Amino acid sequence: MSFLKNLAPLVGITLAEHLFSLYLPVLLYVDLFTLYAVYGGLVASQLAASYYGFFAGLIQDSISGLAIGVNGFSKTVLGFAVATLDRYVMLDSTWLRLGVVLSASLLNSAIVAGLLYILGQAIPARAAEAALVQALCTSAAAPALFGLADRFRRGGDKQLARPYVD
Amino acid sequence: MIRAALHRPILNLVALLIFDIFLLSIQMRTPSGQSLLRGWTMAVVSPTISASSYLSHRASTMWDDYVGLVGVRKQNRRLQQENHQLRMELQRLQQLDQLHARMEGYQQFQLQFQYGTVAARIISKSPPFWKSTLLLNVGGNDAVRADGSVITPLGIVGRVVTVAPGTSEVELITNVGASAGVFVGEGRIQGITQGNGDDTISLRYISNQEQVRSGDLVVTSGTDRIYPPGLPVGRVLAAQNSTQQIFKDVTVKPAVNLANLQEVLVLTGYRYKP
Repeated sequence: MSFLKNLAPLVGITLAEHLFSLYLPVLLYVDLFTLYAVYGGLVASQLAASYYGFFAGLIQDSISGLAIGVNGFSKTVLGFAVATLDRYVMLDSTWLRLGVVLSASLLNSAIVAGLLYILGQAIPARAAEAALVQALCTSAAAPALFGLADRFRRGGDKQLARPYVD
Repeated sequence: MIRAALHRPILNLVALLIFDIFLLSIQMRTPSGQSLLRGWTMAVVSPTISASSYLSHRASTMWDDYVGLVGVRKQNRRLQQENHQLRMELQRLQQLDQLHARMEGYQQFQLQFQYGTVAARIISKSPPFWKSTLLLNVGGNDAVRADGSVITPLGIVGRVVTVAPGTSEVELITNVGASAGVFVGEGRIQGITQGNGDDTISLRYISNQEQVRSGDLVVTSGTDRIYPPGLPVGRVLAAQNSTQQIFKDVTVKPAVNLANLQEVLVLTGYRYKP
């Protein structure tokens, strides 16, 4: 049940991205789906984080016009990678988390670009520039949104904590 | 045993990634060029997006009707000015058309295409980083078909790539990889547009010998069999001879401001008659 509950924010993220695309496209530089996958990796097990990333990616694909599975693949990897990193490194400082989000966002763009290349799709000339700006914007938004997510999850507790580890 | 395997993170990761690859691999194009899976996905997702769009549109309309009336007089004046400009532009295009008819024989150029239009509202736009697409509130039920041209009175917008019963996905002309056959300038030099992935378009295969100037009008040629001939595409922003190749580097600014689009027309029943 809590797994399904943790998937619920995806509905809000999808609607937010939809409204941003129509009225405030500049906010699309904050990749909420990547933040969701990374947050899933920080608070959940490797197993659950993979699924959080997987569902987030598929929903992002369905609204972004990309082939279904491109972001599904990249976000699954992100969720798993962050959860694995979190098993061995204490990711409880803001700076570390910023670094994780920045790296995850860049990794996500690299995987998406790689998959598009393999699928024979054209890659925009300014993809690298856009990916960098998106990574910076996503990282900048991460502390506030993670803080907000923590408040909802823990009823005001400050610390991110993983409920269980395999 | 399967249950135990499903609780192993690595095995799960591999299973999910394989499933992603499976999803990608089955997105083969149908003969009409449409992805079957993408059409199904849109049919599932689009009702939610349509409902959300409807609500936000209603809210926006209420705001515009009651609160936003303050600036109506000013807007009216601006629209009248735009109307005058558009009339002048129309007259200029009509003159160009007549010129062409005199020069090449109007009969060969005229009435090769027959089409109707259906008005559509944009209910969603994709993030522009990897792909520039729009979602329209019309689909197969409204006679929209894959590869249908999407236009506004100002010029072309793009083509329909995926059709669901009540919605359709449009690839913008600025999308990287999107292309159209065009004529440039009064000399009607033939070329092909290619989206740059930002808010500009490149013109390909214009020889260094040709005269193309900044401000030249670019119109569709109809050779791609998607866009009817004579529709404005944009104006040349910059043109310079390439030192590396035999073709010019030409950048075009689209005639339509794609960032602020709200309504479009989809050509239906359009057929090419060679």
